[in-house]
Amino acid sequence: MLGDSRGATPPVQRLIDEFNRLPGIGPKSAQRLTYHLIRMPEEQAKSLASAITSMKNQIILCSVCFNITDTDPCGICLNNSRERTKLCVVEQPLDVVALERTSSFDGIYHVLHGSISPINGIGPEDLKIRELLERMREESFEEIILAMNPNLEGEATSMYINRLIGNLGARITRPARGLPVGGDLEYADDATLGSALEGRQDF
Amino acid sequence: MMTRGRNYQTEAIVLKYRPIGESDRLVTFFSSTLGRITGIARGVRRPGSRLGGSLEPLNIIQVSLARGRLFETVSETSVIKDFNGIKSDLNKVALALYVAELTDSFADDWSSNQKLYDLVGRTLADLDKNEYPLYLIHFFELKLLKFVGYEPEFWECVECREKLLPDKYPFAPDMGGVLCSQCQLNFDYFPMHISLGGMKILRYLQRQNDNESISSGVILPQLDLKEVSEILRNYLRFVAERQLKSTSFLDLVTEMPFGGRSKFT
Repeated sequence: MLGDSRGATPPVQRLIDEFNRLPGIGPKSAQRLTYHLIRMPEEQAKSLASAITSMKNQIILCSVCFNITDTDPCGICLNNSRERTKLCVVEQPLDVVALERTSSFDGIYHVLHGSISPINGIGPEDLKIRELLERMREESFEEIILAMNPNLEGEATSMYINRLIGNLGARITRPARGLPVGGDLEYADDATLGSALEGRQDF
Repeated sequence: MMTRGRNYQTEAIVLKYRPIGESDRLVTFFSSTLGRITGIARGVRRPGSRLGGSLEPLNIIQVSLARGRLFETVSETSVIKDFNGIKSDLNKVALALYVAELTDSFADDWSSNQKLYDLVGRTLADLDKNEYPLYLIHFFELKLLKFVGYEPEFWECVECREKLLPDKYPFAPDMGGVLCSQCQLNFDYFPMHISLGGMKILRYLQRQNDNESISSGVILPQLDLKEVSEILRNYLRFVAERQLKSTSFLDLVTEMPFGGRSKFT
């Protein structure tokens, strides 16, 4: 059976094909997972199937910040002890997870679900930018942090948003660009090193 | 992982990339000596990767590749130019990505086109350092078409080759040029017509060898420029056989009312 799954019966092949679609799962891994599930007790396999369907049923986007949540609005948006005058705009829900892990930000978020990538045909209308504008009209923010990824698409996205909301009264900021902890000065790339030097602080 | 095959180096412009697998990117380059090439950059989406930063679209890099059994692999890069002047200006980014997409659409795989490479390099360098009036992009479009063998004909009738006086003419993309008053009678329908004003601009831009002479104090009528823009867009789309994706963002940014220091006329 190794390597050639053309002999697999249709329901088995169907599951292999479904696993194969997932990122990081190639044909061999898909086969391994499928045959593991065949040997697994039925309740465990059913538990996996039902975990997938309930997740899809229960997971929604928060209607305020568009983060992934199971309640609408999400826990962060509902939390009144958060600093509601500070808004951090990010590209993806995982960015919220990463930022929350730092415990350095006490404001609220807005998730764009992507970045502007003209060559790939992704424009502002494909992201939650209009919704950001609506939030700016309804809520009043003192500061908007544009925490996009430090690459061309992320920069283009922050510049675009800055142009849209720059004169609406809030202070627009962006995270500093710097050297990773544990890294080596010698091995840092030019752009990062330059940025880090420019943004130097008093000791 | 062993790759059988030669290592080689080339200077190239990064045109675009897309993610593949868990941590890799498929990067498209336009090489000065090899034409359009695609290679896999392994592990660049992982946090520790140093390779990723140099593989940004628009960067001119010296890249080392290894020819593998199935595809090329990027082994090392060093950045020659990273065009920060473009990357810190929204309008310039939009325009530069349009240039990159045109290059990606028209350059041939594994086929050197030194003239096109130099044109793209010069255009990006101009955009990076100087004010770049929007109409200069039409100079780029016409030269690009010329260097890939699709230069449109605005001086003679494409059918009978008669020299044409400045006037308005119908333009036939499938024939690659304009038709005289006689020959156009043989056809029912023309998708595009070029006015006298449009014709003058197109001929003027075609005649220039570099854009320095154009940007010095020439004033081109807005309405005619809009027409020229549409004609060239349509022709490019026809030749490319597909809709270009970066044009909608370019138009959006050019027309944005807010903010700024829009450096465009």
